Amino acid sequence: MGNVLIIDDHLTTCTMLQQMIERIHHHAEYCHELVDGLNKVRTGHFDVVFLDVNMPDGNGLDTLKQIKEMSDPPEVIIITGVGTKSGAELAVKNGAWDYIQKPLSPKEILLPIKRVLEYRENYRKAPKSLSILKRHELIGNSPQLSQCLEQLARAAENESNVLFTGETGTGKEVFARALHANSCRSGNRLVTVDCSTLPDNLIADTLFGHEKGAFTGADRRTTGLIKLADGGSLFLDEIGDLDPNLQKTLLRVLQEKKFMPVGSINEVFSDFRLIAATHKDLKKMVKDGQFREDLYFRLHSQVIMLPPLRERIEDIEILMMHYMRKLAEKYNKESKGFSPDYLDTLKAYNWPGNIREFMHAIEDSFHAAGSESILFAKHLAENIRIQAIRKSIDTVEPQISEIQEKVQPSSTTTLPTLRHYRDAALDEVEKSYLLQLMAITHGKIKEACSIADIGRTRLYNLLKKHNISRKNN
Amino acid sequence: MILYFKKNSKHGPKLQATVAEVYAREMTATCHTLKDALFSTARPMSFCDIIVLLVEDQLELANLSEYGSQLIENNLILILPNKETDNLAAGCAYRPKYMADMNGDFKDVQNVIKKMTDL
Repeated sequence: MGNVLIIDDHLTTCTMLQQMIERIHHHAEYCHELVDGLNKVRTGHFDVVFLDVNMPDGNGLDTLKQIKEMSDPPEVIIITGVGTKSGAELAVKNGAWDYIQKPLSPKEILLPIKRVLEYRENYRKAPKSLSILKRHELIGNSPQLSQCLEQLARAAENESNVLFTGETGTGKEVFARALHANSCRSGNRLVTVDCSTLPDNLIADTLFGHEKGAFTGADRRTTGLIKLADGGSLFLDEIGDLDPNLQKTLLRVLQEKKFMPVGSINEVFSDFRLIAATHKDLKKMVKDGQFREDLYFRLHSQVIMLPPLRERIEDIEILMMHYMRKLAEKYNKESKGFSPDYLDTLKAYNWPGNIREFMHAIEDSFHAAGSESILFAKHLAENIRIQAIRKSIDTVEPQISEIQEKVQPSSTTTLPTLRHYRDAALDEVEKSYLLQLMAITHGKIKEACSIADIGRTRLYNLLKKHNISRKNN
Repeated sequence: MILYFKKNSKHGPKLQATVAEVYAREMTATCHTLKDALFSTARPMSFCDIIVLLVEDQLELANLSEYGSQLIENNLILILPNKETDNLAAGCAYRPKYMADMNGDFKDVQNVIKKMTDL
């Protein structure tokens, strides 16, 4: 028996749905507010949630995102009185199972309910592959990463093509390697071809190989990398950069698992699994006529969207410690500790280059610290620190003009050094923040630590530094 | 860039000259032992963006395994004794951006470097 939750502000819709669901021997309950619904999803064990879009306390599509970020979330079917294409697209992008427009007919409801519960049943029976997933360099426990790992684990159990999307540096190649290593093809090769690095004329030769005499300089036969991937996986990195003519050829290879080396009249067979990756918006490229729609659909059977680092802040500490250990090993040095401000600064930066930029930043700071055993924010690159400062200033905007007045030199004084100027500004911002923090929390240290996301020792030290008393606030 | 070929290599000077047409010699560290070449990539703040290794025989190719982890962290162009399946398969393990054949004119290597450096 499946458990269904209905979140809708109309009592009639709720009771009608409940009756329909109970008639097919499943349990259903309802609530009329998003807040109640979220609490029920968190505490209950629901397989399906019917979620209305226009609710008195908010938009159901925003709640959908929150539900899908939970661990082992239920499937969500969106129901709406005013259906729009963009709303439907957003719902599906955020993980909705279906998008149904009111008025609800039994046929429209019962079929998706049957399918979704069948899916949940199979999902429950399926081995919990995530626990045995070989994670390699996939570090972190954030809900965003966990969701990708769950998708990876499922993809590793089948043979369909997989497309990894995500910004530059989000770890698409690492995911591709993990997918291959966890698949039944792991005993064979993973062959990587980076389509962004190779000139168009070399990609065809690299992928398909050539016969002797196929062109000037082809004095012997060569094997293409597609053949080399026979029995294993072929990883085409930055597939969005593939030339349109090659896209056509690749599509045929994917359909028939056969291809002709350059200059050959004989077809070569290769049984490979395609793993592709791109940082480009392939859908937009299809629309603009830059990427073949048929190839896009071939690739689109399993898409894993990798989150940017700024959306998985909770992974920063564990990632930092991981790379720190690796650096110590690489350079044969003692691993270094870190101060809370170092971590806070890493968390405040938005990491446009994602994990790749993060790794370089950690390595740079590791070297900048020299023989010092503790890393401080000052060991990080200036652009990273400046952004962290800007962020902290944004949080105490009302005080900015006051601070500027305090640290701005008058026309009669000489300009201070940048360091003094910056330190003075930082001190003022820090003090102002702490005063507000103590006022908001009425001096409750536990609450203050939680809001500021800093440790107790760090908070006490800062209060002492700025001579701020807990009780006076 | 780090460019490696054996000191007595027949093809090395030709490779060096071809690469120099698209990548400044003063920005290229030419090494004649694998140890030197890979040591350069491991130095802190080495800013090495491309490694070109001219591997002239299978023994040398096998010796690369000692430096595997350093190789895969870089943009590697691997020049093999030839593109026989065994050599390509062995080369794949180091995740090169491109695998070339040492019997060519190295214009393909030049084109890949040009694309890599967006020239």
